[in-house]
Amino acid sequence: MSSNMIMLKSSDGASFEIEEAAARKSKIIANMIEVECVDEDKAIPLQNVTGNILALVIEYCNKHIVDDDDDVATEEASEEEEEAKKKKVDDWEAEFMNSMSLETMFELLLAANYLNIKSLIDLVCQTIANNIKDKTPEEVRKIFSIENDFTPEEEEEIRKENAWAFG
Amino acid sequence: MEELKRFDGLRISRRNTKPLVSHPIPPDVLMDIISRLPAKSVGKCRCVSKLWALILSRPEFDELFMAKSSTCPQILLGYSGGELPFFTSPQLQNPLVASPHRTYIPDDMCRISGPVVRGWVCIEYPRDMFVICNPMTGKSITLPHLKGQMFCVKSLLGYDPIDKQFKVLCVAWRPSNPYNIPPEHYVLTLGTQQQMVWRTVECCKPNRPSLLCEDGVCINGVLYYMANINRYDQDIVIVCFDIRSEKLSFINQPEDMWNLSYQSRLINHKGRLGLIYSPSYEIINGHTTCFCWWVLKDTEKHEWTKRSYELPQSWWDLVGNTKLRILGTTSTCEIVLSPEYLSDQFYIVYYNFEKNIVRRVGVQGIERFKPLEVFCFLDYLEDLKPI
Repeated sequence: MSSNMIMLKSSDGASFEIEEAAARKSKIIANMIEVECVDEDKAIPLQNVTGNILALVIEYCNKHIVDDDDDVATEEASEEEEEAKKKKVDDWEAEFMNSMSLETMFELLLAANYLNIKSLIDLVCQTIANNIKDKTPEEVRKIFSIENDFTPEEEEEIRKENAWAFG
Repeated sequence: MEELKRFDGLRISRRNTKPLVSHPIPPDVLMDIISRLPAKSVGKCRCVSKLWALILSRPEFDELFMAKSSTCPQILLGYSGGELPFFTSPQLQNPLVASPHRTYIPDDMCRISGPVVRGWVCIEYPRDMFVICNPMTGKSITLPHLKGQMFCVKSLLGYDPIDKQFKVLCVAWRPSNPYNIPPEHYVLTLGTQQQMVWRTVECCKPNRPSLLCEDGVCINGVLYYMANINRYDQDIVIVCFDIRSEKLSFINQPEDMWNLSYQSRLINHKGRLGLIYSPSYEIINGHTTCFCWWVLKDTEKHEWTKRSYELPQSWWDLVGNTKLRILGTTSTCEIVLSPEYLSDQFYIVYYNFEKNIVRRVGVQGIERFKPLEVFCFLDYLEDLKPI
């Protein structure tokens, strides 16, 4: 396992040092490393990610790189051990997502999407989905800060079309 | 995709109050989030805004949603007589929690014909009228009548995953005809009333859909059902209808299979055709001692692999005198059975044939009841694709 460190720079100028193996969780950064456009002394600029969000992304990547190492080390782990480990990861992820507001979640999702980190996209999408499950259209609008742009007639029509989903 | 390109994301207006979302959410990310919700939540989300209604009605979204929903297959429960609506419950829950839908099988002369395909079923009405319906959304299509009367008619719904089309195979025959006259076969592609026209399918082999084992199964674009080749119940053939090419072919029954019974069932076993039956009795109840099972190994050579499973003592304790029906098998190696009639403590029986364990799982959520015949189907998927 390589322990090369690389530097990432957020849109607001904050620099972060991260293990290459952790940074490779991002397909975009992994590609940059592959084509050798990463200068060892220079930080990779991430125009679309602010420092506070990048810190969360790095926390996630660091956590999961440790887990991946464990996977290699205990290849012959029993079913119970596997389950216990999975539970540990699930608990950590639940705690990680619990610690942030919905707005932060959306920003983290956009960052994960931009950096192309599949497992983080999955985690955040699922958490946001859990937040809007069984909610009325009004409640969903509030969560996403969306204005209702239907005319009363249009709204009646679309409600009628989706009447099966209500009640 | 044309319409989507007009939107570079979800613009969220900044108001005086601090918005929760201050950046545009790309449509593919929005589809990813919403596709993880149950179908009813998706229906509600379509009412959020014009943009959401547009994005969540795209065929790409329907397919994404189907991919997610196929990881959580459901049991579909339907009742003839219009007393109770359709219910669904995830099929690997314990207890099973049945959620009601708004659709009904309208009267007790109606029945479900053939297999459940994705989220759609074919309901047979009196006088050979067939309606294809999605019990969850209530969307339905009435099939055009076949010309000519005096026929026995059977319709089976199938889905071609390559061209992404639903088609209906219709078999029509005169009961008075001798068995050596093949029945007439017709097919149509589901669409608008103007698009739906019955086309003739060539068939040279005499056969007649079996009345003992009616349901059939649709696996990877092929519809399978059992048919008699003469007036003896034990002489059967499995009819295969390739939905894409619209060609019929036939597979011989397993050589060591004694005879067909009302309780025989064609199943989808991990993408292969299987056949389960109980050789000991005509009915399946607590007295049943074993199940025989064949899986089709080689379609060309008509080769089947047989296994039989002796049931444990707990089978009788859990089933008693209740008459059961085989519904199919799950991905977790369980044969699933249900009582034929609804009772106050309705349940589903799972027999794990690898571990030889029987379990009985109660179904919660169906409170109003009287002894009604239940139509139970495995592998019902929440399906938002309009036909």
